[in-house]
Amino acid sequence: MKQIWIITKKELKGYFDSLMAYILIVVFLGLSGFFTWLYGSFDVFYINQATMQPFFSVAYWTLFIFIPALTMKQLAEEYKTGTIELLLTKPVSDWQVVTGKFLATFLLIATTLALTLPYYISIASIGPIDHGSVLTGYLGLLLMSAAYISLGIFASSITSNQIVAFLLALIIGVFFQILFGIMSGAFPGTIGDVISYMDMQYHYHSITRGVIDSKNIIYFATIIMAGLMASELSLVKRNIN
Amino acid sequence: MDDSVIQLNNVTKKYGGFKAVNQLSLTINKGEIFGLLGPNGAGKSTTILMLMGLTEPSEGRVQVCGINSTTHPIEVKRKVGYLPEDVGFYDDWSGLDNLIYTARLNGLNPQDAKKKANDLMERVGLSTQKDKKTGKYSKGMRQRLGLADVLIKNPEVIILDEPTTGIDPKGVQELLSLIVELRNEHNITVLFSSHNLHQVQQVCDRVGIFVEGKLLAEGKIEELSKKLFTHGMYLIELGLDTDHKKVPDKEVLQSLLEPLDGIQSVKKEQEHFAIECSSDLSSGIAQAVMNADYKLNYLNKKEYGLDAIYNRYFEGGLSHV
Repeated sequence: MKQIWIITKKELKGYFDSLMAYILIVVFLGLSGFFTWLYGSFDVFYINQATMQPFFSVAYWTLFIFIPALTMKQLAEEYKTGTIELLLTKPVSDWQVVTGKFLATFLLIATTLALTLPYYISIASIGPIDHGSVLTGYLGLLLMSAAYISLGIFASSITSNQIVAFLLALIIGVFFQILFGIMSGAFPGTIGDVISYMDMQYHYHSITRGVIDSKNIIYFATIIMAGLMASELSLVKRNIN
Repeated sequence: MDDSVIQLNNVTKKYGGFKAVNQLSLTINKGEIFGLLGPNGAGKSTTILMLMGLTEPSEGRVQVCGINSTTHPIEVKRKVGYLPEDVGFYDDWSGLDNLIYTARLNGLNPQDAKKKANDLMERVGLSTQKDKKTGKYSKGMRQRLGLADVLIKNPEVIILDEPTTGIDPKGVQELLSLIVELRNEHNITVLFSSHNLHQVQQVCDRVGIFVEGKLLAEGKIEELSKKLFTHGMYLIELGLDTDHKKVPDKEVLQSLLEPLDGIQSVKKEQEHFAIECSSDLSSGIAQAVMNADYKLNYLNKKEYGLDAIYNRYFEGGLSHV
């Protein structure tokens, strides 16, 4: 655990040293704040309701784009600069490396989301708000972020080119974000059900509506673990080569 | 008492149908500097990967410090320091920060990591450059930082994979001296993988010649030389001044040199004598001919060193394991 935390701290420092963290926070708060408060046909004043739904919708799509930009360098840069050799010849396992990097990005996203709590406080002050759905909304965003972070790290683990890692993470994300939802309609029966189950929007919206079903939790946990294990496998394979 | 630190028993590594390492058995003892020689693609790096537990052998067993590298790679990595040909560091960090980070990964607490990193920066001659970003370090400085990185965990074994490539001659000498000093001071076992024969001969106690995944020969340089060059490890060419005194016959010279222990053959060539001997007898030969009132014109000594041994193995495809 100690090794994982050392790697996590190093990665977090890297985000703040390269201004990446500041850019993410400022742009995310700016975009989500604009659509929550000011956009016009979408904001809380327009719909005349004390709700965080506009924020959760915007945050969902914004994080979908931002997360690949945060994960693209995680392992790809280590391959490119040769520091992966430095890292893997230390007494740390491949799993600790992958988990440490995952946690760093997850903590950055969690911190960014924590900075949006003033939105919640201010909306709650102007009208009655469903606190339960806000809580599950944040939970949904954290689970969805964790899933995309693990897929992003996997994309970064199979190439030394950061741009390729970014595009690959985005392409994988598009399947979960959009294509599985569309494709499920084209396949009848069990196959359609399986593809429909893969659709992230379905699970995300279930949670943000305030329904925490074990089916949704298992879905996110499976994607997170699969992404991390695939990254570890890719790291092992790369070692061998 | 078994003093072996590195043990490879019938180790084979296959990539598909290709055998990168083929039935390798090797033992390296504590405090030894062992040179692993061979051309690119010979299987040296694969062997190192297996020693570090970064890849598994297809057959056989690899042990470092009594620990199975395949089943317990983390424990092995605690005891083994590895310096590759081209060390990667976080270029936007200072040398000291890089070292502190790896010290922390090696289990040191923050205070000890900082102290040890500072001490080692001084030990490898980088104390004045410790706050400079490693992206601005020269190749030699990076290798020295790499050596500090290796030493931060107080390793029992150091594995050096072509560590001097791209460094200027002065830097090479400094690095090699540092390696020998470390062995002498701390009795560290060193595996030095290289294709630079001169450097290997300079620092290694024993060598192994590795070709196409096979260990063709292994032993001390003198032993290998004796095996291959049965007529002596040294060839001394002796030229005498013909104006001063008539050049003696072969038999006369042989009787003059008889008191010297180690003369193996004396041949008279057109202009000079060719004397083969098992040790360096050049001063004794010079003394003997001068005592017999001959005047030396020249005396050339040729030693059958590692380059001759290496070439002989490649030319002949010999196997003397």
